[in-house]
Amino acid sequence: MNDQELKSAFEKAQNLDREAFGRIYDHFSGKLYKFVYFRVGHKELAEDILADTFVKAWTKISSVESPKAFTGWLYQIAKNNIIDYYRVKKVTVNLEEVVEFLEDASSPVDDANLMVEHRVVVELMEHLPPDQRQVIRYKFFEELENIEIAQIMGKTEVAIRVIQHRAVNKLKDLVNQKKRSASPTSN
Amino acid sequence: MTKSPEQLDEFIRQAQAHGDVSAWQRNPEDTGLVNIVSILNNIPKTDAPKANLLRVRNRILDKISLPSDMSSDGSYASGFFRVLPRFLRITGGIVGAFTIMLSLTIGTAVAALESVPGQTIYPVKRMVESVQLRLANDQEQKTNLQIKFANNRVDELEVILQKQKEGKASEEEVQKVVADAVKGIQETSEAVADQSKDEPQVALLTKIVTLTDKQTAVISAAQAGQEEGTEANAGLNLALEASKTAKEMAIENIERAGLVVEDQPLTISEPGDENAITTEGKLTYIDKDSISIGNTQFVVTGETKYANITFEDLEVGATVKITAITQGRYTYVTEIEVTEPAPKDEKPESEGGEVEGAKQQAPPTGGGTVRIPANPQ
Repeated sequence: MNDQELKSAFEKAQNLDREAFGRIYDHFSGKLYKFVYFRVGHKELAEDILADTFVKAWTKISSVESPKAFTGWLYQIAKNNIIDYYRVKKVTVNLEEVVEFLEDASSPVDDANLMVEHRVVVELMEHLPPDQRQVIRYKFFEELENIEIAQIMGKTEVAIRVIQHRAVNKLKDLVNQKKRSASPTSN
Repeated sequence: MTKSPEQLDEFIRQAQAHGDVSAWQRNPEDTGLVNIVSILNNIPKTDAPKANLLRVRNRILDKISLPSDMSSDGSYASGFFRVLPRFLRITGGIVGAFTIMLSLTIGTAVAALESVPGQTIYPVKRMVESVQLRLANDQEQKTNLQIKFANNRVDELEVILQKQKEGKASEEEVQKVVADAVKGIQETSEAVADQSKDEPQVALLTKIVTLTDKQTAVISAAQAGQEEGTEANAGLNLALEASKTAKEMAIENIERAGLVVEDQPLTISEPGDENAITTEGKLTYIDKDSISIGNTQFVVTGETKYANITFEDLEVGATVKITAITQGRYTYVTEIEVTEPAPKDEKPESEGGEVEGAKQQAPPTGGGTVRIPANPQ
């Protein structure tokens, strides 16, 4: 579905056209399912959270301004559903733990098939501050858009671009440092 | 750093969409960035197990097709719930309401942690910070938190400045949020510097100096965008003053600890670098687990790298360059290099016997230099 088709489906869904909403689901469900799955690690549970996310989205779609805003909003609903799931599961959860949930999920990186240069970068990512690491992960490993990342992290798109900029430059510097320290002339 | 955040974002977007980065590789200055983006793009990903998306779709469409049984919050009253005795429904309602309130409270607080001045939810963030401070176990943890919160204020100011640049914030809005951020910087910087003076801890003080450098850079940038004589500009001047005072106090305390802080150009450091320090100075004490420069102790571990010597070759009086990381109360040496061997007349005649396991010992006289980590921009 291109932007125009998405806009059209969005407008129809706002007028309670369920089939149009179904097309919106078809457009977003695959990516959103992966987002949820990597955070709960269970297929059926991820499907349940996905369904609940879209049902909630349907009830409020008329208050969303644009398809772009709707995209980010979907991720925000999904994120809240995931947090709710962990809250219920763990019975008592402190605030910091809730924040950590979305950062401690299983890795979408295929560890077994990493080449040396991939592994170096993945390892160096651990030296990045958490928000930078998270933005890189969302952007490159889960291929999320800035608006989606912004909604998930509760920041603006501008802030996401700034964090991304810092993260990539920092990674570049870390790679250079590692190369220099590995060089036999460094001592 | 040759690209702006917007340029880099556009580059990443194109690289992800087309996979072709050749146009960007023409500029040698961009080679490093291009390589990193290419590597990140090509890292193999795991796939989630295939979901039955059609079944989920039907489930959703079934639910949203149901007639007006739907309550105002989007939930559906099931037949089972309807046949429950009245008292159970009331109890269920109370539990449900409590759950929703709890969920909202936690959800609000989570969102608040990421908010910036000017947002309705922002006061909650400050409240959470205040509670965290009150719950701190000891002074060190408290100071660490204050440094973290002062960093938050600077990050928020940066975001607001960026918004202003892009014309996404009105003059009035900017003035208000700048005033909020400035107040935060003043409060936290003063508190941090003040609370560190009784017990000089080089690791904490180094963080403060890094923080104040960052504050100065961001505030200076903010001043450039403000008109002379405005309220916002006056506030920024005060914040700059507070930041400078905090830095001076921190440096004074580092020097009291026997070290000298090198004069550094203004740089914005990365938050992740706050725990790293580089120190150079004469060794004043060595034992099996630690070494000291001045009266600042550094822990030596099995992972410590020795650039041009072995641990056994270390001598009191030798000038060494140390790269270290602070974790909790200790500073761990990651790498040590002797830059100047100990002069023969400075070597002690006998090994220090007062401290168990000590190899050599000398009075804690200063001579070290602390280099504050900086982020190359």
